[in-house]
Amino acid sequence: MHEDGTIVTATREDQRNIAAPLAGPKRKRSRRNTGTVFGLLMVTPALLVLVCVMLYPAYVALESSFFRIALVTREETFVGLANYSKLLNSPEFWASFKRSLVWSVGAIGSQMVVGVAVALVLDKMVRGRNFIRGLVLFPYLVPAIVAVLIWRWIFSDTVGVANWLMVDFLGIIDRPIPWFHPDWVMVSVVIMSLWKYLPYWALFVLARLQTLPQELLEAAQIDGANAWQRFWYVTLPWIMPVVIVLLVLRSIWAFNEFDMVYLPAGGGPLSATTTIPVYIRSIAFDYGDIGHASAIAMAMLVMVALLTNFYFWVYRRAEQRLG
Amino acid sequence: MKRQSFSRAWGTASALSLAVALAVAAGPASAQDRKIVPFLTAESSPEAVTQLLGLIEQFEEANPDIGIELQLTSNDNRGPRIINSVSVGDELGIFEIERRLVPDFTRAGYLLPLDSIVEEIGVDKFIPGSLLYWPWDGNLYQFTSDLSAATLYWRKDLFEEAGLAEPDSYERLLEASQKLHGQNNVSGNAFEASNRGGVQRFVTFLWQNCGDFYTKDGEMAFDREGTKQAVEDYAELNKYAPDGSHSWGSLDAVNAFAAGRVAMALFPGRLGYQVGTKAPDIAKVTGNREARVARGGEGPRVVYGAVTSYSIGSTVKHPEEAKRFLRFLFTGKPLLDYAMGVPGHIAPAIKEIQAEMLEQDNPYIKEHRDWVETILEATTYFNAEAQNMGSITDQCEFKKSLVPMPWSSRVMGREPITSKMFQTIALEGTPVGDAYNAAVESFQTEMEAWKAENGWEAPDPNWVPPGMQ
Repeated sequence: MHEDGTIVTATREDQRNIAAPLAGPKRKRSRRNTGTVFGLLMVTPALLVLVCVMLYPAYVALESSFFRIALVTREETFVGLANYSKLLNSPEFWASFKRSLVWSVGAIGSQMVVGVAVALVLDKMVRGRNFIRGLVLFPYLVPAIVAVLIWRWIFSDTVGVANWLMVDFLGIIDRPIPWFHPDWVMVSVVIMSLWKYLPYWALFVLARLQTLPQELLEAAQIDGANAWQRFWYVTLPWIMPVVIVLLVLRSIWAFNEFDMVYLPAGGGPLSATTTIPVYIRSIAFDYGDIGHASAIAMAMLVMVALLTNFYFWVYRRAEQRLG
Repeated sequence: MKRQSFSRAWGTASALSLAVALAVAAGPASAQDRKIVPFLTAESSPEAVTQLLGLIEQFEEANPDIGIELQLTSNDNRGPRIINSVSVGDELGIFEIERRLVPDFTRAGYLLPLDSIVEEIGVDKFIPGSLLYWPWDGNLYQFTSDLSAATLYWRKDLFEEAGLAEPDSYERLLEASQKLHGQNNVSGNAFEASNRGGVQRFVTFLWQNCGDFYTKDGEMAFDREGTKQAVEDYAELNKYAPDGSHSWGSLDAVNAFAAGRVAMALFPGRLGYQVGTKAPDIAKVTGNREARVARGGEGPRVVYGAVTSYSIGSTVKHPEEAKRFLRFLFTGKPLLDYAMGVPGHIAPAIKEIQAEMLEQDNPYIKEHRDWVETILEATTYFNAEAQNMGSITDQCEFKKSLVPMPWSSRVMGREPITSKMFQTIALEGTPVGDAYNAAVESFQTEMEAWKAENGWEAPDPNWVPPGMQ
């Protein structure tokens, strides 16, 4: 920078001239080249996996979305944008999209609130914290199919424990809840998902909570902040970056989630749990329309990308607020 | 751990892994030379899978040059898995195939004809109509292993207590459902409107009322006289099923009956076996009979059932070995052993094996021989909704057509049209007539859409399959 405050930028030529006398003997440069080759070699397997497992299938899906493809024989007919036009004009697609939103918001919202609450409780526990932490992790280890079978049993209208507990044992409601009625089934699926993914939230938030400097809380307490204010003004901003990362990851997974939505009620009754992934499966394998299913998958990819961008925008703002 | 020690440990572990891998790859010479045949099944019952594994072991002992690779899948996943296999050129060995996929598979030449296996055994040894010959070329691409057929289970104790007669007609089913529903925490019946039940329970009503989905020429039949009657009757009975039964899974009806929570259920042999072995107290007070569900107990003698059959993919590396295993597994003693895994649920397709089953020293058969006899008898008049399109003639006779419904996944896939119809009636209060008319329209639209996309040519109407002359 000049004395008058203007910034002087060095040209590439200048940089080369400055760098030349500093450059070491040739041996050093060749070592640097070897390092670069070695680095590239190290990255190659990951790149290959990325191309084979992610980019190539995505390309195939994109390409398929412009064709009508016979399910078994794979005979292809180019149809241009017809699959996308069919998608935009399909009331079933928009209904599935709406249900996907309801499911994602319900699942993520409940997991976030309860997950943070559980993490706060675990953070305050002094005795048995490790044991409880292990116990909390258990549902996450259970395969989705097993979790669903357990919950289908719990919510069964004939032999289920949930209704027996609430109607007969505790007497808190008069009539059993029809857990798989179209009005209730999404709630049931959200509860199943909450049980399964709660540990994921609780453990991540707990890890962040344990790095919270106690002086901040003590200072707030000395300033007269009550428990709620300490949580709202100190704890929540501290855990917010982790919460947002979890929101991003879980939202992508929830929007794409198939097993936890499909297994409890097979997309029904009356399509009440037919979210976009369930709809894609039906179009692909019930209707045998791989091209249309691919078009829906591409639309879903765009939606998830937009959602992710939005989250990252919020994340950057949260980071900035924390300084 | 220091970097050097880590490297040393890592090196030792790698060397050991390499040595083990080489040893495994080298292996005994005989294992290397074995001809491996993949075998994919959707059989889910643990008893049946155990039985299968035992039989595979027996076969491998007798044929040391052949290895059978058992692959398990679910009913829901079977179709996608097979389709994926053929699309990537994977070897398809022996596998269960849905009838709806057979047209495309035969057209593409993906299936081996299996007529030679039946010829060796003798077509007359099989239950008539159990072999799924292909009406368009007369070949057999699916070898039938076993059958299942629905019978009616009812709680004799509750019936006696309420002074009800044996349920042998629609009127008696309804009366019993009305009287017993809500008594002692019991629902009147398990005539569910779930995605599965809305087809599998309903079709017995449909056929006995002279209705059908389509004719064997692929024309509309759901608008036929009698069909609406069946819909009205089933919808009325469904009012007395448990509240949440519209979203039941495949075994919820079995669990509900075994738990003593429903008074009647129309179900294949699995229910009897489950109740007989797991809920003996309920079994003692349970009756089992042929299902007669039309008004006055009239109508053709036909009930819901299913065929389990296996095909061999044309990409199989060892076709003769695959055929040899198929024949071994589903004839003679192995078939008997397999069927005894879940007696009644697995009814052999070969007549003499059915007869032998009843003579077995088995506690379930000893205790409930009459149930098993009723089920085996029902395998002679069962029908399968997607396998025999137009089996109920205009004259209200039951004649298996063996013509598959190629668009069945559109009308009976994830959310079958009939199930949706009953669900809108039960859950949304849609009048039966409106729901029925909407269903007729859907059956018509889906059939026409499929034909427009794939083309359709009805098989020769005069063709009579072997064993059914």
